[in-house]
Amino acid sequence: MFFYVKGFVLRLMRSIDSQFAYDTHQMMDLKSVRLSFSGEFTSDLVSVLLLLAKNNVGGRSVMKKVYNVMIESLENLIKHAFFHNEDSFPAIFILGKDEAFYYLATGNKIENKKISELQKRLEKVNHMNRIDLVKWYNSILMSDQSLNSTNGAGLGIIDMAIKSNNKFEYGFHKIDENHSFFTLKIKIESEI
Amino acid sequence: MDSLKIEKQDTTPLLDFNLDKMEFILEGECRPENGLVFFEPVISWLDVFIDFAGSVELGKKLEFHFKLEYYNSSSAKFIFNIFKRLKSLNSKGIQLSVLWFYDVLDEDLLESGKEYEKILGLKFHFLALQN
Repeated sequence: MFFYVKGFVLRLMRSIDSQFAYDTHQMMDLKSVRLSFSGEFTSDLVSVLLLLAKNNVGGRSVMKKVYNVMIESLENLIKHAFFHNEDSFPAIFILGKDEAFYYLATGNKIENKKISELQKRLEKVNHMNRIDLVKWYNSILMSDQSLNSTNGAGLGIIDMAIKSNNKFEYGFHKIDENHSFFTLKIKIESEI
Repeated sequence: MDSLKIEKQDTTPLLDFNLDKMEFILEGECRPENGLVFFEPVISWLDVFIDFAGSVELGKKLEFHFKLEYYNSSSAKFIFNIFKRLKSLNSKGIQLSVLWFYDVLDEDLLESGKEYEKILGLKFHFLALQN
């Protein structure tokens, strides 16, 4: 809910007072946020965020995992931004760490009519074990589906599930009749 | 037929498919926004190469050095297709050996290599980089 409120506030409040900055800081501190960005995502920005993440995640092994999942999730945000060019509702990316996990959280606006398909896919992924996820991934890889797909033929979400080795947490927060804010949280064990 | 070389860029790897040495290298990070833009010319080149390989004098051994540290999901299918094409060289009398390099701490990359090996029915040599 916080994500939605934040986007909403950013949109409506053109003048940001110092209390707002303080509250945001406190909230980010409380949630152990290492890195975050709210706004429009471009490929240049993604390169910068990836570079910053490399310096923010300790341990090469876990860094590799975080980095892999981060690329897929940021690419989703870019793709989304592209589809809603006419309407620049800010998306958000957060990299944080708590006791046992690094977590990546994203939020972006989607059309309500796309929710059921997305939800189905997320549920399917969440109900599969690692072995079945790898099988599913391989079957898409080997399928004769044409190569012209820019969306990775749906591999991204499966890839993130395999690498994170944890269930997705997600939510849909209504914006208006036709749109919602989709939030996704992916956890990665900080000790591998 | 000329070799194919594409220099490394921010989101795409070094690609060096050298016909004189019969050594193909793919090295770096591969996360193009649109996989098709980067890979389509590569796949087309490989199709020509595979035709060519049967008709003209070339080395009888090809080494493919897979040194990608990372590839995104929209590249995965193209990479599979590159391997599939290279596999077909066997029938042209060219012996392929695949060297899959990975960071010793990157289990996911090793696992991905083993999956490709399995679904392609090819034998890879896995080389752990210590850094």
